Amino acid sequence: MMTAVSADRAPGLVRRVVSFFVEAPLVVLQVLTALTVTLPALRLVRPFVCNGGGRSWGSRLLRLGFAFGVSTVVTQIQLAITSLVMSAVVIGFYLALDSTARATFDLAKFFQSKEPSDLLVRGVIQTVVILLTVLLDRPFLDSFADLSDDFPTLRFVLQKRIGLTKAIIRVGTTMILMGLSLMPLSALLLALPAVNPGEAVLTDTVPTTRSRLRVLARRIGGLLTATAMLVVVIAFATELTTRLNLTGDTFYGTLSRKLLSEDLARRLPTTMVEQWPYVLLIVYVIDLLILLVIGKVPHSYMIRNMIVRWRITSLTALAFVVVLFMLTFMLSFVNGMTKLTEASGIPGNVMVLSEGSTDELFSNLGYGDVGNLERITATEDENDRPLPKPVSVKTIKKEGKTLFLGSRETYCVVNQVVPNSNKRRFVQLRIIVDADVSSAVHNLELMDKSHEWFTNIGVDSARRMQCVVGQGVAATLGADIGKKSLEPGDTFELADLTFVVTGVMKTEGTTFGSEVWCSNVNTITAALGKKSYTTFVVRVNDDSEASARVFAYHVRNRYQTQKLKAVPEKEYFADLNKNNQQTLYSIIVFAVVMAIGGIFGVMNTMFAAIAQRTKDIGILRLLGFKRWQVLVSFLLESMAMALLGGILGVALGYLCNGYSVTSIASGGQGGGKTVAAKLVVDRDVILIGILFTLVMGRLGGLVPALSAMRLKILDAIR
Amino acid sequence: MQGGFETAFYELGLYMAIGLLLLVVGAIILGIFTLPGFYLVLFGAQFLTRLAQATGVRAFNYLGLMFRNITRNLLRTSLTYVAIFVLVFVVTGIWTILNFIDSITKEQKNNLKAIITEKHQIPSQMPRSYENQIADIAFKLPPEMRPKNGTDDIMTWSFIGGSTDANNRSLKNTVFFFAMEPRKLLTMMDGLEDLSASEMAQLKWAVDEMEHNSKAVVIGEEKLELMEKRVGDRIKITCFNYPGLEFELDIIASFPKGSRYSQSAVMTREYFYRSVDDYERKTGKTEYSDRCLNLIWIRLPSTEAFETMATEVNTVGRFTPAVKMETASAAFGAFLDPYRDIFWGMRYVFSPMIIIIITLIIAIAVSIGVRERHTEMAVLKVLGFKPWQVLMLVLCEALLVGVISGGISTGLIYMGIKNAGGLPIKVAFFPKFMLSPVVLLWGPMIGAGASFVGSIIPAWTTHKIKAAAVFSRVT
Repeated sequence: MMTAVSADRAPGLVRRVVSFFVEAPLVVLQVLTALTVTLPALRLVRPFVCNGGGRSWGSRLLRLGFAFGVSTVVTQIQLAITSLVMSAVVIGFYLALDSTARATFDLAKFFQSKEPSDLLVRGVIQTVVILLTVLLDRPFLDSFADLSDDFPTLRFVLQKRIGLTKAIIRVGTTMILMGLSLMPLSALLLALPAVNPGEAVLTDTVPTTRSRLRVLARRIGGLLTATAMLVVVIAFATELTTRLNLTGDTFYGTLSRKLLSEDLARRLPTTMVEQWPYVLLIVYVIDLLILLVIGKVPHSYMIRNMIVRWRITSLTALAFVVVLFMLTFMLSFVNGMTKLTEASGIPGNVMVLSEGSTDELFSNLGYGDVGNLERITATEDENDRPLPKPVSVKTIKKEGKTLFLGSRETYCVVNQVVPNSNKRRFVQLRIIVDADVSSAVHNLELMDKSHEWFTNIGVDSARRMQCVVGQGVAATLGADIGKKSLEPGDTFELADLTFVVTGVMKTEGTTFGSEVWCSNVNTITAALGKKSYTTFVVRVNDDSEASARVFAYHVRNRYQTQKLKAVPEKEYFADLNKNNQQTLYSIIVFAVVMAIGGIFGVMNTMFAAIAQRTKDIGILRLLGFKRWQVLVSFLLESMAMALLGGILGVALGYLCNGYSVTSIASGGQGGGKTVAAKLVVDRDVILIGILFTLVMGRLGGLVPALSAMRLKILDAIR
Repeated sequence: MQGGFETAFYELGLYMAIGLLLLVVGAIILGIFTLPGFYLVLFGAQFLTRLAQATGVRAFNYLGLMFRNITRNLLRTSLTYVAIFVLVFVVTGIWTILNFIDSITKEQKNNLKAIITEKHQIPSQMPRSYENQIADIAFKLPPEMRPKNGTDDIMTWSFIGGSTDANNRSLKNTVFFFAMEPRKLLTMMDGLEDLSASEMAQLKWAVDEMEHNSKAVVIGEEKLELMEKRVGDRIKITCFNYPGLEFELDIIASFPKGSRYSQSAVMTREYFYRSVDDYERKTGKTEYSDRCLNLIWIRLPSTEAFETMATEVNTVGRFTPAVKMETASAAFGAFLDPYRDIFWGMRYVFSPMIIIIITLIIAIAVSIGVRERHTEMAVLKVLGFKPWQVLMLVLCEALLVGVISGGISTGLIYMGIKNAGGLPIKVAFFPKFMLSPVVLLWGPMIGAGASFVGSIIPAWTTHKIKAAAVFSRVT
């Protein structure tokens, strides 16, 4: 897969790879690299230092200098080789996963690139090199323990260096354990012999054996049974989720598609990609049920302990309440915005804008530019193959006439002085040519029969502009006159004109809720200085998204009269959701940071619980409870605390459901629409909240539970 | 799935493994970034206290006791510290954004800047002749109300969006220019106070150069990096908000990384207007010159001057299309109006909730500590410590951890973000948010406040500990 890499750049690349490790952007990695660089040098120096007894000081210093000189060269070579090997492995893996990167990959540029994905891969390479060097050098460093006392300073430095290595390894191990706690514990318990064949997990004692073959068999056996367990649980969860027939584009589905490569996402079961929170939640619930069933330590013991320490239990649970309330609140916003932009696009609609415009707001279509656009027919697809059925613009009958479903629109954002204040706000105005056509194209209806569309004349007898308004803007403008919402007959001022409302559109859950619609008459176009359309929206004859794509392609590439930009309406609104995706990423960062608070809170509580109940643990073990049973008991306790707070937090978050918020839907290239979205706490948000709670409980609970498990009976009861 | 061996699940497993590796790396980096500084401060202060104890002042003995108690369970103290550190980090980030928004939407009394835009529409598009008409109004004001520096206090902006590759437009090859008079860069733009003396000298040189070469442009360093261009390059820009216009531009300088303009670009108004004239001469259309002026800025000496001039400018019928004049802060406020609910949430929901989490974490740690140290508290009382002294001991221990944690957190954040050139969060039209030194006070204040609230109840329980009751249980 490395064919895209230019061979003639190889010598330069070696230099680049090596210099990359010297010019690391992150100071911490730089320091760590510098530390690891000294290790191979020390290895070469060792014989000269340790076997130096009996020689003169001068001779030993000379030998020392010589050794350092040679070792510096060797160090550079070792670092270059390690870096190159690790770079090849990690980059190879990266390219194997990402088909897009594979197509355009340039190794020379990769080592200078500031692209986040490249930075991430480089960070991984560098960290792996450092960790590997530290891990491989630990036995060597340990061997310095018998250094002679001739060099007390060197001995002191080495001892500190060994201490640092051990600390890094301990932190790394703890973090790996924390990460592993996200796996089903039932599988983890089975896998423990693979890491430590002498560790008693499922049995109290493991017969010691000197046979390497048996040890290997234990390791492999542990690994295989754990894998089997994992596969069974995940397969069951995936199957169950598939049978739930969950549909619809969700914000979390978008997230997984972003994280996984396109190729991998296509090959995995759709449920695992689109509905992953459900799969994970079912996995965790099954795991929890297994633990509850197999846990032998009475659950009443766990509950009693929580009650006895009610203050700390409540404080910990309260931390979870706050974290989960916030998460639910934030996700409900993203969910509401996603649903809003999705509901706004109609699959069979195509939006035509002027060439080069990034948004409706910046589009400028001359009145003649879209003259005959509604009469064109696409007969070939995107690959110039004939279509089974031509795609054209849909028509409707009105008063005996045939009308094309092509809505000519001028979209403007108008600055309005807020009545009775010196503030201003922006009101979105859509000037349309024919209300019947536009309402049919956008599938919009009025609230009830007492409401009417404005006439084509567009002004009433008092020369006031007639308009219809979306529900969101009706509420905003209604508040100015002390009403919950504008009603037919109400008036408001905009662009130095008086507007009279003839109707309110049913726009619940669409971006049109924030818009005022009026007729394309000289009164308004002259006031705004608008002598062109911004948008032309057409409905294709079979209402399908596939035909909309074909028609958009046809207009973009084969329409000769004018260069135009045409996009299926669904795509346009999906693009508006980009801003929302950025909000989602911010929320993830925010949630992770908050989770650290919750996790450390539960960790503190559990470590304290273990410290207080050390004797209890000893007695439990004396009574015959096995080590893994103690582990399960403590883990269940932390998860119970997390669930208690988490469920309360989500319930509290549910109270936000339905609240209206103002925000911007934007594609990030300027423009965008001010929208009145609703906070939506639905099944998805609730389940993600519960899943997050379980993850936090597991992350915070496993390490203290392991420390409880590893207590020796005699030490515990002493 | 078509025959053969399907590796998707193994690849997913590898994805997970990479995720785990990143978690480990992240935790190690977090630990390395945060803990050494904390221990340095903690043990350093403890060492200094020990030295100070030689003076015989009792307060130092008391302080020494506190430090000993804090360092007794290092695991708990470290967990509490790291949690406070990251949470203070988030609060600082949120407050930085809100602080900046508050500052730009706050009305200034003197030397205020006003913006003149098209009255009704966004984006504002005005004929370029408006500049002279506005200047006429300004210079006909009573002498004390006129702009102090003459025309140097008036600036126009025209926004030009273009791409170096019009057929494959992407974020990488797209650039937005302000077309303006170069010398106004020095007199009218905000945020130049962040530049160092040498950067300012370079900017002055660039402005002189632009005065002589209308094709010269200055582009922010971050934008240049994204575009993979450098100073000295010549670029050809195809304009997309003025179709038909193309610009050949020489990049002569860059706005430094970390400045407010590191992602912005400035070209000369002269070149833009000339291109518009050439286009209109060729095509016979006059559509561009009628709408190529987007904003007019004017600096006025006082609120009275602004009000007098605004009355003149806002008179109905004076301009067609009509314009409006408002203070820069009011204009920013109107632009940010769609974000008001988000800002409200950040101010009144997120920040307080995070502070509550910090308080709870401290409360958990202190409660555990107090529970474990009942006997010790009783001994202190037997030794003659008064109940309020024991209460203060617990309270001050919590305050020490809170203040040190908060202080180190904001200190590191301040240095880190200052070096990175601002907090890189895009809100509205602001790509980054700058930190002011006042941030350094926020961490200790949050830490102190949260510690006080979180530890007051556990500390109060120590106040009520009865030595006899405790010792009667000791076997």
